[in-house]
Amino acid sequence: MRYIIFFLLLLSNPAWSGSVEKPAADHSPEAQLAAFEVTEGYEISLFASEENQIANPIAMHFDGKDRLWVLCSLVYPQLVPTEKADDKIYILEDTDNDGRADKTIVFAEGLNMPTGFVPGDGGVYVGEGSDLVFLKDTDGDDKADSKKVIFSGFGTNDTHQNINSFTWTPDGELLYCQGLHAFSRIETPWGIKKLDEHGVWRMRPRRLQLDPFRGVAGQNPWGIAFGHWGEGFVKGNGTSISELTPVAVPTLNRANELEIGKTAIKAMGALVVDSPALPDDIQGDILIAGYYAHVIDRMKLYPDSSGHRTENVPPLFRTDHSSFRPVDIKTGPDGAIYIADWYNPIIGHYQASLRHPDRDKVHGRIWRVTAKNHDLLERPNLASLSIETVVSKLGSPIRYERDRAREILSEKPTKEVIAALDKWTTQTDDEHHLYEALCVYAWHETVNPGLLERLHKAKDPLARAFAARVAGRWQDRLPKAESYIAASIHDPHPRVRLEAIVAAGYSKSPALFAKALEALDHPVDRFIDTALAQISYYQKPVWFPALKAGTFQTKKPEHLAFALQTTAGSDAAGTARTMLADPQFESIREILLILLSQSRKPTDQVTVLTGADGNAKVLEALADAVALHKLIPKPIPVELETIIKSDKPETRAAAIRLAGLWKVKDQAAFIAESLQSENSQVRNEAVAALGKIKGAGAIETITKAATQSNDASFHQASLDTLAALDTKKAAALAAALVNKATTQPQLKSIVTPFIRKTSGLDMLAAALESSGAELTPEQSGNIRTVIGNAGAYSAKLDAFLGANAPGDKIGIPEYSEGLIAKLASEVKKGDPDHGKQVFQNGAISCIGCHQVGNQMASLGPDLSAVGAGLPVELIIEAILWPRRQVKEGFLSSVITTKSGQVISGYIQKENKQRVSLRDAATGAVTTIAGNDIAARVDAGTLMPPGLTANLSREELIDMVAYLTTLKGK
Amino acid sequence: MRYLTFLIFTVISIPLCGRSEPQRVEEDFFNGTDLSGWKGNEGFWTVKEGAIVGHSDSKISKNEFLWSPVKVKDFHLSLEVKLEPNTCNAGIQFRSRPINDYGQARGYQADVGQNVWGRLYHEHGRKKLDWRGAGEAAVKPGEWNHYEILAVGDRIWTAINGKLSVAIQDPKADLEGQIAVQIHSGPPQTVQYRNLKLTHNPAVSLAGMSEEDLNAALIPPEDIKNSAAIIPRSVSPGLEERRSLPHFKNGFQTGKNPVIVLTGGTDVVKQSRNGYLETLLTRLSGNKPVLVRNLGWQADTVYAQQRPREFGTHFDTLNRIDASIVIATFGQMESLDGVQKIPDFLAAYRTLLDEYERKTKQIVLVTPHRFEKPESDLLPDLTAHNESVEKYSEAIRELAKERNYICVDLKNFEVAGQTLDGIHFTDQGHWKLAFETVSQLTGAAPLSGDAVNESGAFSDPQLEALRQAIVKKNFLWHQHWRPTNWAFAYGDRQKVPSSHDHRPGKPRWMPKEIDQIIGLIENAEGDIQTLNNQIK
Repeated sequence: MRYIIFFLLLLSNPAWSGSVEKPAADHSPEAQLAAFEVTEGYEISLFASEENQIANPIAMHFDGKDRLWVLCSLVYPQLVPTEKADDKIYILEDTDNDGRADKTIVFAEGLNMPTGFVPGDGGVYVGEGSDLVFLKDTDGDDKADSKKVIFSGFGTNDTHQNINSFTWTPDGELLYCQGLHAFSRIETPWGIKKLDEHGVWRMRPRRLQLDPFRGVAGQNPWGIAFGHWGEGFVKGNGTSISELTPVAVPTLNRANELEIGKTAIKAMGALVVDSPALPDDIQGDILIAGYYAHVIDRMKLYPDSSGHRTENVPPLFRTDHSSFRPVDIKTGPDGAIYIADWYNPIIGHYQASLRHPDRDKVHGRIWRVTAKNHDLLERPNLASLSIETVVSKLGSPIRYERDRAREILSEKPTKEVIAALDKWTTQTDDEHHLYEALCVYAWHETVNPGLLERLHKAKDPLARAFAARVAGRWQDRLPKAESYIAASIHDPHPRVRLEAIVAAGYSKSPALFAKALEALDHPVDRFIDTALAQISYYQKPVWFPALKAGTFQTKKPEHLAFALQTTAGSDAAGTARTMLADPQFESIREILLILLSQSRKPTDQVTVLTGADGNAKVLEALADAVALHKLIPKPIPVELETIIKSDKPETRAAAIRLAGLWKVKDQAAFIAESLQSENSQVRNEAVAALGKIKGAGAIETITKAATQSNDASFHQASLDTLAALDTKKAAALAAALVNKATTQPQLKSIVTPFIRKTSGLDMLAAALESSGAELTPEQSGNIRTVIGNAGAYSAKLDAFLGANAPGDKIGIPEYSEGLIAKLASEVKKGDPDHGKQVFQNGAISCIGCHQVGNQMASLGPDLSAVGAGLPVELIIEAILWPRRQVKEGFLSSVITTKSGQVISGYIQKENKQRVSLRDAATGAVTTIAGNDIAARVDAGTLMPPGLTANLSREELIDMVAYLTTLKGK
Repeated sequence: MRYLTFLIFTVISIPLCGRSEPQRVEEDFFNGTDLSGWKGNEGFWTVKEGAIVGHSDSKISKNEFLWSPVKVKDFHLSLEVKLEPNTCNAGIQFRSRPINDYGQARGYQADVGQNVWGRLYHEHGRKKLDWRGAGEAAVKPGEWNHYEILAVGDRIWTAINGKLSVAIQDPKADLEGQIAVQIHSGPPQTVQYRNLKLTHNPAVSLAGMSEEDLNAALIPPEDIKNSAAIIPRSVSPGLEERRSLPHFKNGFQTGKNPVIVLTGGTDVVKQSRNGYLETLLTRLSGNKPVLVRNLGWQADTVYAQQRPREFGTHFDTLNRIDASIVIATFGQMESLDGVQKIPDFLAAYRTLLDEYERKTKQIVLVTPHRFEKPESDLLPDLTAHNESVEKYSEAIRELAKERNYICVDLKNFEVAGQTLDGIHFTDQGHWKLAFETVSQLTGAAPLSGDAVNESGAFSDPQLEALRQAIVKKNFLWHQHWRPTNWAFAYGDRQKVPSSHDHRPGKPRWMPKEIDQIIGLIENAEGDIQTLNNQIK
């Protein structure tokens, strides 16, 4: 267990990732090519390199002339003050069609750390620090000569999270991402738009509409891809990829991300493969740029209810070359896959100095992956064609052509484009053609009710789903938009319902919101549930006032219950009070009582208690209200006396808990009797309640009951309670109980209460010492594991336990670079196989917290690729002195409650009222009311120093040797 | 690019490895018999048995210092100190200077006394710099204690009885000054200092630790840990005398060496990029330099001004740059909320202005302008809100009157054809706005309204050169005031490697580099002044 922590440590050191590696010995493209390990049937060739001027490519796009546009930034990661920012966008051409770029045009220069771009609308949109700018070549010489700031105010607090991944939706909405440290405020004609931390922006350029979406993949989303019918996916720069549609609602509520898959190791960017020049078995797969582990990840994509799921398959290719850093993937005009290689041994923005001289600012590569035995496609050069012909290309079977066709049409005069589309759509009934046409109408912000109607009635559910989406987009201009959306809410296919819910979310009509809630009458999956929750939040300013005014009706009370329950704070209590008096809401009485329990009126507490009728959930809600709002009714309702004697154990347990929280002294005697209950939940609640009531003799009563009991959970409950009343006496009891406890779960129950108490472990050590307890090595080992797993440490207890531990241990040495160097040299002779055993099975079970490969653990950073070129010195440092550096996302918080409990763990979720954190002591998510927090420290890693103290030097060396073999393959 | 990066490294590393002067022990730093050369107030200081004795019989109200005449830069000072009773307070000033005839000190103080032993204080200045007090554990109360101070460049360490106590790397380091010993104000006490040994250009080693280990122990000083990078007042010498300016007694005047601050939302940010207003203000000030600090921030409103963590308050900023005039532009986006929110608007505006007023009462309020009907019917027509704009403007005019501010009233400002989206100005619109603003402030702008041509440049090349110099300066100011990667420079990611050097000891290059921009700004402002003076 201790090792767990230890690994946390490791984790905690950012530097080991594959994010800081040594530069390659040979920088030539040939050396890189030789190092690629490619899936059978594919070949890789070089399309462009620094010889074509493209050092450090960040993003790329093909244009209608089949030229490759590449954005490069040498200013990244931070402008040197004495230098002039001069980043560029290049256009690469392969004029002789030999698969190798031979002409470079500088389209734009003098840019200041651009992190994303996309051509379209007759120019190029660029994310340049705080600005979204539009560059245009007005005289046709392929050089930008006009620059306009469209929006300004995007966050730049952490430049690798600046706006990025510029991607057109098929219907001409521009999406881009921002990361965790970006705090953006944008003035738009539609008001000020805000996005704090990570999310996706959606912009409709012609209307200057900008909307932020919260709840996409990971903390630093980077990469957006679309399926055949415009299904959106977002890749984070961590492992996860998530579904976009359900969170495409601009509410301030941050949804839980809807992960549909994850790569083995951090990776970014995504492409849905769709090219006739590639084998059948890869079509529809998602390719991901594995910048961290030098790999092109590949996953199968399957529909799953209203969303998707994925399945990882072996990567397309990988390499050990330290500088291969794929960051963007696109399909080319020849049907090949193109990969932008940032080429850098150091990618870590956190993990290495931003001025580290090993940051490569010289090289950059574009690779081209082709399939053996498959013909390449002829480059279409759509830009040379007439508008009518380009429109007809919307019907091309080749995705590349359709994508370019839409982009080309985006820059043509609306009138001519629409005329051509009007004509084309009368000549085809192919539903996908109609989908493509609708995309271009939407791009030109031209409403076409007839075409929408046709798609709305399409046979293919994904066509209908898209129609629902566009009806949402057009609803301020489309006649009868609401009726399309309303009809789609009851579509037989869940994907259509999902899109319709999101579309309804944009309406200002309470009636349409009520209609959307009818989706609850169909099967509800996690995507639909989230979409409904998000629109409930977003539309609350519409439906909630209507509800209070008596003008909001849902088809069923359960629909209203969903909206109320999802979004309710204490402001819902008044509504619940009124509705409780109305017989039509009888079926949702439980939910209404729960809502009313949050009321601050003592009379409401009485109403809830009497109305609860022994319903344990309602009683729990009352208990919750005590914690959140300190609500205690006066006088205590007499009904409690009856309920507490209920025959149903869960009712009785909940009532006892309530009696404790309300400090009902009259019930103390009865509760003391319940210590002997046959039901363990009742016993545990009883002991906690006695601790809250603090009656005379409580300590003795509890001590006695605990001594007589053999139930580990009761021991823990008793010790938790006693520790709050009198830690010394609790420690004395624990010392007595330890003698009878041998297994890890038993000892965990006894030790955990002291982990949670300030100086608790020191007191436990003192009690053990004075009781003369003699622990077996097994007991000592188990206690160490429990403490280690919790990320706790007590020198005193360690000394006590250590007295029983044999052998020559590494201990906690003083930090010294010399020692690190010495150990590092020994690691070369270490035994990785033995080290693996130490890691997995030793006195310190590292894998309790750290994931390696598919062994799941969530407390510490994933170590699957810790050895991927990471200096061994940094691994050693992180293990022995974990607090010296802490990995992003693994900063733990320590909360001290007003009752003196100390809980440490990673914050999972927090708002003004509650904080949820994964308690390192129990592994469970604990929720603490804001009111109960006495102190909070956002600390460092959970991995405490000393986890490895009990290892022998040999074991430590072997374990490090093992870790260095982990390359994430 | 790579070469430039190296260059910067080299520049930064100079203070660390550029020491070439030989080690030298200061002879007769204290001669052991009398206080010749030292300077202190009568009645407090004597020499007994080879020790400097500081003594007060009765309660004293001011700190007493005994000053050595020797100037120190990089040095090691070793001495023994005995404080009786230990509950009193003394200390050793270094790299300090007397700030008045009484001999009071400004600068670093290695502290002596119960609960302050082994801490580093900055007397009459920045106060607590390293307050961990690790060395106190080694102190023998009431007895002789061996105290060492090692200061090399921006790195400062102390040790007591061989235990390392202070270890800071100070980006705002005082690099030279004098040494003085102290008796702290308070009850009667006796403090003795003996065996004083001062070594210039010492080897970097202390308390048995190597330079590498000492470097590893360095942390930033407490006041830097929590503060933002704000251009310090030293940019404009002589500003300290200008504490209270007349509250626009004689109307808007740029006075001598004023610091004019612009606040507001996105269009104020853009003013820093187009430089029109600042060019006019610079022309207005004639040969007296005017410093303009654009503190605009996108989407700032009176209700909310989003800033990164640890950015500091508006008052902090105004105070540090020693603002003398604030020109505030608010109300445009706020007016979209409708007239019913005007009371909220005024309340929030007053709160903001109260904060400004802690620094200066010379405040100009600019009203919002009318919205323009956009060309595209795909954009919302905000002219429906123009009545609201007028009501907000009225409220702002009243507010300015009530507080005795100047109001720039854009009631009659013509917006037709001047906006990009109905709200935000085009370059031409910005020029017209700047011209209108300065015309209202002074009665007549110093240039003609058609000085800017269609492309947005001044037709007069000298004026255009001035504007470009201003834009360049503002770019630097922006980099300094709100640098990118804030989280690493001053926010919650200071400890990760990003902002630190990659070399042993890992000092932080980023705050240093951001501070270096101050010099670049000063140069740019010199250029502005030169260009301005060249214009007839």
